[in-house]
Amino acid sequence: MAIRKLKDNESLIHISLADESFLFDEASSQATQIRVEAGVCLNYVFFFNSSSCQEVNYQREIFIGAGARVKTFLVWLGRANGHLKFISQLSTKSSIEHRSLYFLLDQQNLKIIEEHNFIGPESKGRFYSNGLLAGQSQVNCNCEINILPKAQDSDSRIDLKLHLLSPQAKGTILPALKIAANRVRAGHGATTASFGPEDLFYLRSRGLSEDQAKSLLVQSAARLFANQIPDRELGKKVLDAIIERL
Amino acid sequence: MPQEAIDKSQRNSHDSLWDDYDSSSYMSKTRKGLDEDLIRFISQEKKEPDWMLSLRLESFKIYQSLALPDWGPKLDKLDLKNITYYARATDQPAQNWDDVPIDIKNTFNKLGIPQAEQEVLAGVGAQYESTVIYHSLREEYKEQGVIFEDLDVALREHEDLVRRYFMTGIKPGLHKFSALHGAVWSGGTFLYIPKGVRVDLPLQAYFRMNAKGMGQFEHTLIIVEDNAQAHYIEGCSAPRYGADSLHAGAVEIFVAPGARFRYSSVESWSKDAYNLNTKRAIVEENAHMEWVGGNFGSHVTMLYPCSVLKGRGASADHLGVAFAGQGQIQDTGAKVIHLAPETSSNIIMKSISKDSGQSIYRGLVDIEPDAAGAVANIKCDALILDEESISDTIPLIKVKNQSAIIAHEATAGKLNDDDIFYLRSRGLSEERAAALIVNGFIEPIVKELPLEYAVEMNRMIELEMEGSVG
Amino acid sequence: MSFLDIKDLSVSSGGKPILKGINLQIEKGEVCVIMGPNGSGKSTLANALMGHPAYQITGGSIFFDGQDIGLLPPEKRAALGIFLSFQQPREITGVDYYPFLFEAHKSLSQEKKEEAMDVFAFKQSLEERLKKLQVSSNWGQRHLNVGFSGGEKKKSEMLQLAMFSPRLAIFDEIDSGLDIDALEMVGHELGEFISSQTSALVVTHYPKILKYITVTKVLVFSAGQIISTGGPELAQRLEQEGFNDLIGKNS
Repeated sequence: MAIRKLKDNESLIHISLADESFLFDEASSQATQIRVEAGVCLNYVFFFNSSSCQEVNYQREIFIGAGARVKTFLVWLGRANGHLKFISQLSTKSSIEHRSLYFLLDQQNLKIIEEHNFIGPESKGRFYSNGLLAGQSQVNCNCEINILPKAQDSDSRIDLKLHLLSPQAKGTILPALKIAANRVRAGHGATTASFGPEDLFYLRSRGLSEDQAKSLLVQSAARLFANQIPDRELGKKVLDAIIERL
Repeated sequence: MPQEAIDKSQRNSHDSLWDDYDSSSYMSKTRKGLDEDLIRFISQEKKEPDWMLSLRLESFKIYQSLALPDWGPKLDKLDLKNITYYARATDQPAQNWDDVPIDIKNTFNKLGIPQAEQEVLAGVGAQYESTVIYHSLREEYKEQGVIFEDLDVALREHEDLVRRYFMTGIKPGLHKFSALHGAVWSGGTFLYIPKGVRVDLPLQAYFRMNAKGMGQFEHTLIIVEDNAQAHYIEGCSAPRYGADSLHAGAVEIFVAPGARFRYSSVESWSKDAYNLNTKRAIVEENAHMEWVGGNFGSHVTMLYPCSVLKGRGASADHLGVAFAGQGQIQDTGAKVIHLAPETSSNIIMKSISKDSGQSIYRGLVDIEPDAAGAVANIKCDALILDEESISDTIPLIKVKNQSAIIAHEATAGKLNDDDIFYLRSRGLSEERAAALIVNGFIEPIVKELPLEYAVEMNRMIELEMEGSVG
Repeated sequence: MSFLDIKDLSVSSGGKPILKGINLQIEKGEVCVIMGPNGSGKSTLANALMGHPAYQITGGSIFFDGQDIGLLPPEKRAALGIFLSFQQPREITGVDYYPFLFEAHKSLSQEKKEEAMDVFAFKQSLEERLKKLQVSSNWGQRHLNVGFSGGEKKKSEMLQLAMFSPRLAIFDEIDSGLDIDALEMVGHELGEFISSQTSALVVTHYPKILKYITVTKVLVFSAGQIISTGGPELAQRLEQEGFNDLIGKNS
């Protein structure tokens, strides 16, 4: 599959059947709208790994047409503090599988707002968010599923995981469900647990230090995430970038 | 200080008030709105100590400086200037049973509530005839050192005790309505359980209902000393009829080390009421707090019972049901603040919305840096019975300690068609099948309530479900 | 007219036709077995007979004991004496088992204009049944089917069959997920149920159950139609040869 790279300041993209169905976004544009036409399949990867410490602000909106199927990935690494807003809109019978992973270090802080709006019936969405916080980093992660009255028979679920890898790391997560239709399947789960004291003891009794145990955790989360990316090379690039931060 | 002397000194400080107003005419002008004069009047009437008046005035200042919350249901229809903030018991017009709306009477009948009770619930009738049971219970409590009293009375007879705790759990500055409460609170319950005492029978405020009716700014102050144990039940499940549109009461509970306390309430408000009560428990080392509640009715309810887990090993359970019918907004939830290590909390919330009712779960689990090894479990399920109704789940989770373990799960949906078909194939009507499933949905919470409340809650559901299907 | 008289029945679900012109007659005292591959419409027939709202009758008629039941809701069909043993009995959380049974009993009695048992008599009858079914666990402490194993769920359906005394019992996939002992139990219960006044319609995928029940007639379904009818010997043939031959001949 050919990968199309987002150009600098490309603020509006139409994806129709004739185009490549793999979009790679290296965060070169501040705000971008992606319109996916009916029936199209799209893979989209947003990858932020800038070494600049300048505070940044990004917004991405993806409009998913009837019957379109979309797989999206958000990766946030880098050094800067940031603000990331990701909005999706799902039409009739469309679907999205969305994964985000952020790994913050030192004093990095990140605010993520995800809004997933189900506007058409029989739309489907699965949202997985994985947060890894080291050092004194902080995250504020709002992930909202919004089911409008016409989105009957929709099926949605959010799974948020937050791992605090150091004593001073902090996080606030809000997996929200706003539902105005009744024939729906909607749910969410959120967990914040790296290792319970018993798990850690078990690993240490096998010879691992606490740091090694945490590194294992990061690697496992990274692999799980990267393996889902439909392009092997890109997946490896993402995996390497995450592991490098350890 | 002898009673007379107290009065004189208070009188001196309010001389102008007495000179300018005749107390009866003061109250007979249907006194609406709130100002410092009214607050001084309230304190004077009740013969309160100076510190209480100071607290009221301080609260009033805070009330004036705070804005309405910028989140949650809109409160702009609430006309704060047009509310009666205080009315003497003797001045309250005795309500005529004939004036009670027919649908309220019908509900009472359907719930099988005896006439005498109905009258009290409707604000009719002077005093609820206490039964022999009540009297003997009182004696038993007294022997154990339990104090179960009107708060006004407790303020006089146990002033130090009250002063030590009053509005320290819910501080006036918490939000606009706690400030309002601090300024105009009137009436309420004081419950004190001494060290090591176990009260087996649930204590019911119900026993103490009188003509003051369901006070809108009632304050419940509960102190449970070390290793003591008790269960308190507030409210009742029949709809309350009252002209009061605003309820900004407060419930403060202090659970000392090793103590266990359960607070149950099943509240049903009239359809125009604003239920903005504040409930908070401070839980010390190895103590355990339980909130079990059901919220029905009202026009708008904003209620988030809060447990502050202050001591190591403190724990709290929050079990609740919220039912939002036509024109109703139930914005309820649970707040747990983990301040200390090894604290744990468990939240189970069930909400039901129908006929375009809006049911919102708003929760907070806050793990502060010192809460190592804290464990929090939250489970919220929402049943949306028809297309017009709304359900929101907004669980805020703040973690500042890496060894805390939090698990949150929420689901939302409608009644399962196959479940309904199964029950219908066994001969139940569609309505009956739906009611059975809805009652089954809330069963984990209902089973924690004392039997008569459980039965009433189930019957309320059945009433609400009538005509809701098909 | 037959006890259960189905004439030219066509049934759709969500606009999609599933049953196409089914003709089926069952007399009192008969056990009729329906077999066929997955997706042939067997379960649809069972559920449509009970009045599942997801299925719409688009043609033909269903008469039970002389009465046209096509427009009746499920609970009214239950009241007439039709019982459906579900393939996957529903787990209804929060609903205590025995009170549910009693409530259903009262409801059915009322519809039939019979006097319901009082709670003590009912409990006694219930306990006798539980003993016969060899139910060792205390279902009184459990919610309706919640956490029941496959075998327990089947016993639960058999318990209800016994307590509600229907006249027509329909078994949707009577043997799914059952071991030999459970199959035997079900066969025994069915045998006890059949009399000169009652009938059964048994939907099954595997012929194994037939060892344990006495069969009057066998129908084979394929793609929403009956492609073959016969007596017990037809079932034996199918056990040996499978469906493909039969279907092949008819396509």
